[in-house]
Amino acid sequence: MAERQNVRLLLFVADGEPRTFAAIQNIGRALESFHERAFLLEIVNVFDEPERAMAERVLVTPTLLAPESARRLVGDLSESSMVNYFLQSLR
Amino acid sequence: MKKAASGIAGLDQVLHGGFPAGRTTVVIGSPGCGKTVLAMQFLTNGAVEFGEPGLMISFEESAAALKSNFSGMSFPFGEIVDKSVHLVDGRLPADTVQAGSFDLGGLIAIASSLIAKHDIQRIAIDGIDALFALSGPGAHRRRELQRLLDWLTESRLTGVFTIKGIEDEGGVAGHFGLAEYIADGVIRLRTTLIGELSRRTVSVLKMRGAGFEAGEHPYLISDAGIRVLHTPRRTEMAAEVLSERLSTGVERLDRMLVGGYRKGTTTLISGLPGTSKTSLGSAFLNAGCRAGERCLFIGFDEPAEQMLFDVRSIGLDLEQWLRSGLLCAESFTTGGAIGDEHYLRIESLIDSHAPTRVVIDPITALEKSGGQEIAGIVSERLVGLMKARGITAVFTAVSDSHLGEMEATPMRVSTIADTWIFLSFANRGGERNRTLTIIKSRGTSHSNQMREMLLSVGGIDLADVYSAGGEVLLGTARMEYEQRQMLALGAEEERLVRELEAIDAESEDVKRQLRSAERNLERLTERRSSLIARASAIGGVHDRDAALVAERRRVDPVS
Repeated sequence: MAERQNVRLLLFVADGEPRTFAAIQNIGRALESFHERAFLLEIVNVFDEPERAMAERVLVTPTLLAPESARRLVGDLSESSMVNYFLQSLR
Repeated sequence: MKKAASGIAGLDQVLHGGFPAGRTTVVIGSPGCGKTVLAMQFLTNGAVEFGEPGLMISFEESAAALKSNFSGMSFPFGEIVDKSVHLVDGRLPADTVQAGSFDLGGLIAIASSLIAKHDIQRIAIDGIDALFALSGPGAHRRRELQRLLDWLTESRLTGVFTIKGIEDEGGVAGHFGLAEYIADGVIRLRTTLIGELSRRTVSVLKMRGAGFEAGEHPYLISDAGIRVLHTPRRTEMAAEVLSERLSTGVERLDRMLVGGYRKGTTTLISGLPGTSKTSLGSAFLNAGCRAGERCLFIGFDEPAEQMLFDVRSIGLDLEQWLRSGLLCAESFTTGGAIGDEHYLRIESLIDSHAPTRVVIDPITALEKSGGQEIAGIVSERLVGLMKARGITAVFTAVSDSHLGEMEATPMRVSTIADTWIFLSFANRGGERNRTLTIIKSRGTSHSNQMREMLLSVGGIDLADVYSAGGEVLLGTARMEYEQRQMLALGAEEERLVRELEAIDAESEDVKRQLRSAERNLERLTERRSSLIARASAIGGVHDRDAALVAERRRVDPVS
């Protein structure tokens, strides 16, 4: 288990939406408290990159996507237990 | 208000031209009622007929599923998909987990980019309830829906927004009832059960700032998409009374009707089974085809080919017209279909074949498709349709023998039909003879007399019927009567001939007597002449002597 790779995460948000700010804060908090492994988080503004939203079929925002496992979590990530469970399950 | 035509037959009439342009109309309906079909037709027709590129965002089906479902349709979706109609798969992947409230930023970002890229002018968002079904409080759903509608309005696109509604008592929107408050326009598609048949209807629940036809309008879904039953209103009808007559295909009947059926009118031919209603209808079509007119035959529950074959027995070769393409013959099955569907199929056949003559045989079959009430409404609509298209039509109707023949008026058609011909049997002397009576014919001083209808390989003919002692004579009785009439005439003729001969003989006699009398007269005249001659000779001598005596006696001259 020594050469664990960082798990890539994409957070699709709509710039200017109140939930965007909340989601970014919520995922930051969750990743900080999560010590078991490292994540690489990229934030995608759907209005800047609609093609990526289209390619990943992201119609609702915020959407947290783990592209390698094609799993996703939608919403402002305010339910921390759901977020932690999601992060844990990415193995 | 500017309208964006849907190109859906009947719906644009109901909507007075189409969906309000630049606005979003919500389409509510239960599963399977054709919301997606309606949305797809709206986009396809927009792209093909009006050059307006479209975007479909589906929350229920993948782009691949939509393509495969709609490529088989007869409207040209397959040719324009991904070219001028673009599809976006809006379904959430199956393993999506929700953690908090969300918005539709992704949808708006994707749609905005496609709108700019492809110059999209029409948009359909199909089954958005699937997204909101995830969870979230009602207020949240309402807010997001409102935002989406606001965005659509700002984008100036003409939109159709479909939402699955659960049929409840009011039939409205079920768990998504809020849509009708938010949207400017709401259309409801619904299915009601009539007996075991389902009847689909569309109605406009509201349309801010735009007129529409109120009420429930039946519709049909076929591979040509949705077709809404819309009867042309009176003002749209071709009102002019045409005096032109079309041959009924039976010479004597033409004469009874002062030339035939009036052009653009509907004739009802009613009668018990076996009274040759179909034959009379076929004769009308045969006459039309012979005159080069396009004709349409609609049958029910029996293959149209069977009818075409049957009428060969009365010398009508309709198959030749079928081959030449002048005649189109179709048959519908009444079971399992509602009357409205038949109307729409007939309308669609009229649109494609463009006939000037139509026979529906029998119109009463509609009663098997949803009962008498719907059959009555559909029949009336059919009469209206024929009038609006200027078609001369013959509807046959099977009378019910349980009710008196005449009482069994075929629904309401008998009152709205322009001409009503009644066929019956007369039983007398062990014979059943077919009779024909014209009960009414608007604008025609038609014959009121009953006629006997004769069918043979030579075709249909009508024969005079005779009244004798208050009885109408038909069949053998009619022929006997005619024979007796002939015999009576023979005797009369013989008597006349004899009298003429007697007169001629007497005339000869008189002439002979005349000649003999003339000869007598001649002889007498001659005799007299000779006597006068002799008398003159004698008298001449005497005169000469008298002159001599007078001279001698110097008598005074005789004055």
